[in-house]
Parts: sequence; structure tokens; C-alpha cells
Amino acid sequence: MREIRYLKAVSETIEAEMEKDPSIFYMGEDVRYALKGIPRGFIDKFGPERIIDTPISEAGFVGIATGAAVQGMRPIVEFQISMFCFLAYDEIVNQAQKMYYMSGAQMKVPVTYIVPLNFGSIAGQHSDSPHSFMMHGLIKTIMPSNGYDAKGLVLSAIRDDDPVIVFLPAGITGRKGEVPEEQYTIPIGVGEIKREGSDITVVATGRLVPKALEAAENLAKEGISLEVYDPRTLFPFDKPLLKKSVQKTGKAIIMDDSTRTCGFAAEVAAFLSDECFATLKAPVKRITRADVPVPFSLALEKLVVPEGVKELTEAVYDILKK
Amino acid sequence: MIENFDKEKCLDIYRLLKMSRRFEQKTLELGGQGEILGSLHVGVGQEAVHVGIALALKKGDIAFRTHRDSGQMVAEGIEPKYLFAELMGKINGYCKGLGGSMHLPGISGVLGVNVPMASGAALAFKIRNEKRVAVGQYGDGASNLGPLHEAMNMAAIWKLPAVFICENNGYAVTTSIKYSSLLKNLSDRGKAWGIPGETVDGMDVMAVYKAASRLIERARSGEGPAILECKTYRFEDHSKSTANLVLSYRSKDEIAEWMEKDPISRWSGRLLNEKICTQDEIDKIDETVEKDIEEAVEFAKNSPLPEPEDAFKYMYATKIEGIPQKGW
Ligand SMILES: Cc1ncc(C[n+]2csc(CCOP(=O)(O)OP(=O)(O)O)c2C)c(N)n1
Ligand SMILES: [Mg+2]
Repeated sequence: MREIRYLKAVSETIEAEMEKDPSIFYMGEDVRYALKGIPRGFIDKFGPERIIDTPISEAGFVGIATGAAVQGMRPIVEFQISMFCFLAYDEIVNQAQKMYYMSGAQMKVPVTYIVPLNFGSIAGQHSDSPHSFMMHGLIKTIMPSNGYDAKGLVLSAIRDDDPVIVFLPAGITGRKGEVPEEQYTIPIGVGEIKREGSDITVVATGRLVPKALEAAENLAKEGISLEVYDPRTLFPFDKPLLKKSVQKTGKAIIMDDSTRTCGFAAEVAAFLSDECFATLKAPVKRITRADVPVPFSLALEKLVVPEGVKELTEAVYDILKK
Repeated sequence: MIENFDKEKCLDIYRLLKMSRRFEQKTLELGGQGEILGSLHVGVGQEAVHVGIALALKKGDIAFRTHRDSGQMVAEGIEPKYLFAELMGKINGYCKGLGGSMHLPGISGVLGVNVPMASGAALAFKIRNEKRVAVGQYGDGASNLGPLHEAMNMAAIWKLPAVFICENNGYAVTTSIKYSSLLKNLSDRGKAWGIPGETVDGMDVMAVYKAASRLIERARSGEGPAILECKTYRFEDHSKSTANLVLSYRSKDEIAEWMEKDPISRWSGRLLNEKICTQDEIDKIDETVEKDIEEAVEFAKNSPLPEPEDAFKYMYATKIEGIPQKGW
């Protein structure tokens, strides 16, 4: 199969769907020039009516997308930097998300938010991975770990009748992988076992999935067998698949890029305690970011943001010793 | 004499302009060499605004600057060695290596918050009856953020001692202000809040100084806030990272046209024209600026990295046992 970059997979599924569905428009800051690499060349094809550069007015344009969605459009909203979705948190969580319920199922809000993640010497206000905030706001939240999953999940997000937020992980969207040319969907809420194993279940999200696979490969040489579970959708995450895995291994490590308190990993750990208590043979371990803003100095950043392979390997040794 | 500035002061203004520029250019150079990591948004071309404001501030006044204004920090008298050290992530950095270029004190990485911050500072000054003024700076792009508008209205109705200075350099990353506002002058927005708005040539340090200083003194005397728009231009690309993208949103002609208005040669030209100083004297300043910058860089390079515990030490001003938690 042909190999394309992760970001290209996202881009081409949006492009193909926009050709098919005239109700889709793409809006955000500097999108005509595809500053974040997604709607490249779209302006020539779809024109400024459907590729809409916005002023720097996050709350405003997210609210506008909600209004357009209620009137039958399917807006795709791109945030230039992940944390600027905080400026529109009310518009997303208190408006877009609640509209359908509060209106007694009359007002649908089929918006897709695209949020590129980033970190690495960009510090405090530019490095957060705010996916757990969105989960807490009950927004359907996806975080594909490769181009294949991204293509299928982004298409599901666009076709979904509710607001869906798509986090594009830092550092891996330039990677190439096998992606079919034709359009396909991956259902929201369905995870995947990315590597089978028997000793420990590793729950990893986004950029940390390749790290978990790397650690698993290394540890296999020592006779340690990790199973790597990629939820792909964080809210709702695939509980049956996770349960099956943990019933087999009896041990779990969760590795995720939000801060520790009330993060995705905490939610998964609570689920395991609720539903898999009897089969657990060791305490569930979490590898997360520390509960501080990301410091600028790289010397400190690596103490706050997990690299992935290193922390996971240590956690595995630690569990197996017990 | 130019305005109320004698020869010595005129030369010092030249030194500040030059220092701001060389500081910014040096950060780019060090960025290219991998000595400075992360993003850099340099204000090369906008020095007249930065120095003009620095001159207009009196002791006790405070400026909330934009992401493009570290050159102004230098002009305000913050020693560049601490800024270089910060940008290198060193312990002697202005923020102990925790903030980096986009999160220096009085600079926010999130656009639009400087106007609320300045209004808040002004509210504090007013409550305490201090004769101080707060300046809130923002770009043409940031001028479209909601919190900025909300705060301007509050500053207006409460007659806060604040001045809002718009650095209109024509673009927000690739987006022209001609696209994102129908107004020719962004200072016209003052009408919406019932406060004065003025527009000046932001490539002329004296023009910026005179207008800023007048509006700051007006605010100090209790007459409330005003908007000052400085029309300026950035000579470099939006940031270190967008520079690699080679985007075609500005024409070469347009860039060249603005480069003609270079605020530094304009000021030195005026000093020479009006026979206030000689080329020799200017060259001497250039030499000392170069030396000062090199020394500052040396200091930063020789500074140690932060200690591991520094990552967690400064989370809360009032400590509580058990937080912050580590991640693994
Ligand atoms: C709320 C918010 N949205 C988006 C950004 C990303 N961003 C950083 S600088 C910038 C352009 C700002 O333009 P302007 O205010 O004109 O300042 P300039 O860069 O021209 O100095 C953008 C969009 C941000 N920092 N904050
Ligand atoms: Mg601008």
C-alpha cells in the first residue's frame, strides 16, 4: 500500500468529504495558507466561502460555527495552537455540547474541532494537551496515533451529528504510514490492540502509542510481553476491549499526556478499579504529565512531560518485581 | 535639542533603538545556532514603538507588552543578559528558565489579555490612589479578541489610568488587518467605548513618544484611558518557525517600501541632519552596543541550567503539602 504522512491522511479525508458534502466548511486562523499543514491547496479548490480565515477571535468563531451547525452546516474548526480552545471553552462545552440535550433533541451541532498538539521548549501557555478538559466537558474526544486511524476517525467525526474534538498529537503527524486511498470510517469509541501480549496491558494515547510499542519491542527481548491498547477515542473509550485485555494480563499501566489530576489516566484507573478489581494482580500505574505548567528549560521539561519509553520501561520493571 | 531632549538624551535614544534591534537579531542568530530553543517573535522594524513607549513611561508606570516586544524590555532597562539566559533556559534567566520568550512577565503567550491585565493594574493604582499608569499593548490581530473589548469598556466606564497601545504592523501571521477589520484606523474603536483614539506613525520614535506621553499623562491626571494606534511593520517573518514556511502573504515591494522607513536610520538621519551629532559618535554607540550584547550572551552561555527540583518548586505561592503531584 502507499505510504503517506499522518497530516496528509487527515487532509485528504477532509478534502474528499468536502467535495462530496457542500455543507462542510473549514475555518480557523491562517487556514488559507494552511499554516498548520491541513487545508493545503483547499483555497484554490473550494474558495474563500468554504475555507474561511478568521480574525483572532476564538470564542467568536467557535460560537459562529455552532450557529451554522444548528442551521444544517457541518463546520470544521481548526485551532492554531491547542490551548486556545480554552478561550472558547464556554462555546464548546456550555453551548455546542449542551444544545442537543437542552433543546430536547431538536438542535444538532455537528461540528468538528481540529486541535494540533505541541510541546518542546514552547513552555507554559503553548504546551498543554487539553484533551481531559474536553472529556470532562463530555465532548466526544479522539486522538489518533497514526495516519490510518486518523483518516478513518476524522471522517467519522465529520459525519457525526454531535461536536467532536480531534487532537492531533505532537511530534508524530509528520510520520509516514500505510493509508488506503479510498474513504473509510473507523467508528468513534472503538479502540485497538496495537500489540498483543500477556504480562501487562499498556494503555497509551496519541504520541505515546509508538513509544509504548517501542518499549514493548525492547522488553520482548527480555522475555517480557506487553499488550498495547490504543483507545483511539478517549471519550468514550472502548471499555469492553480494555476489560478483555486486563482480564488476560491482570496488570495495567496507563500512559497519557495530560496532567495527573482528573486526567484521562485517572478515568481509566477508576474504570479498572470498578470493573476489573477481581482480576487485577497489581496496583494500576499511571504515567502522566506532572501537575505543573510545562517549564521552558528543556532540562526541566523532561521531568514534567514523559518521554515515554523510559518511564514505561521503569514502570514495567517496578510492577514485575512486585 | 529635539523636543525636550538634549544631545546626550538624543544619543541615548539612538542607543536604545539599536540595543533593542541588536538584542532581537542576536536571539534569531542564537536560535539558528540552536543555542536558543523554542519560538521567537522578533520586533525588528518596530523599535520606534518600543523605545517611544519606554521613554514615555515614568517611574512606577507599567507596560504589558506583546509577544513581539522583548526589545522593549531592553529599552525599558531590563538587562539583556537575564533575557538571553532565559531564552537559553538557564537558572539565571529572567524567569529562572521557566517561562521562555513567549511567557516573560508582562508578556502573555495568549493574545488579547494585555488590555485586561493593564486595566487591572490601573484599577489597583486607582483604588490605592497612586499616580501610576498602566499601558496595555496589543497587535492588530489581537485587537479582535473579546476580552480586550470587554476590558476596554470597563476601563472606560471606570476612568482607569490606562493607555491601550495598538502595534499595528499590518498582519497577524499571514492575515492582513485589511481583511480582519473594516476600519482604516483601529484607533477609531475608541468611539465604541467613548474614549479618545489616535493614530501615529509608528516608524517615528518621536511621534510615538509624544503621543504616548501625552495620553499617559492624561490618564495620570484622572481623565481615563485612550487608544493609541502605531502604524508599523515587522521586517522579519512572524516567528522563527513560520520563517521556514516561506509564505507569500506580503509582497517584496511592500516589505522594501517599509524598510525604507527604518526607524533607526530615520532617527540617526535626523540627528545628523540637524547636526546634533556626528557619524563618529553614532559609530561609537554601535560599538558599545555590540560589546554589551556580546557580554550579555557570554553571561547567558556561562550560566548553569536549573536544578531538577526547580520544575516543581514554584507551583504555588502558598504551599500545601502533597501538591503538585509528579507525573510518574
Ligand atoms: C488567543 C490566541 N490565539 C492565537 C494565538 C497564536 N498567535 C500568536 S501570535 C499571532 C498573531 C498575532 O498578530 P498581532 O496581534 O497582529 O501581533 P504580531 O504578531 O503582528 O506582532 C497568533 C495568531 C495566540 N497566541 N493567542
Ligand atoms: Mg500584527
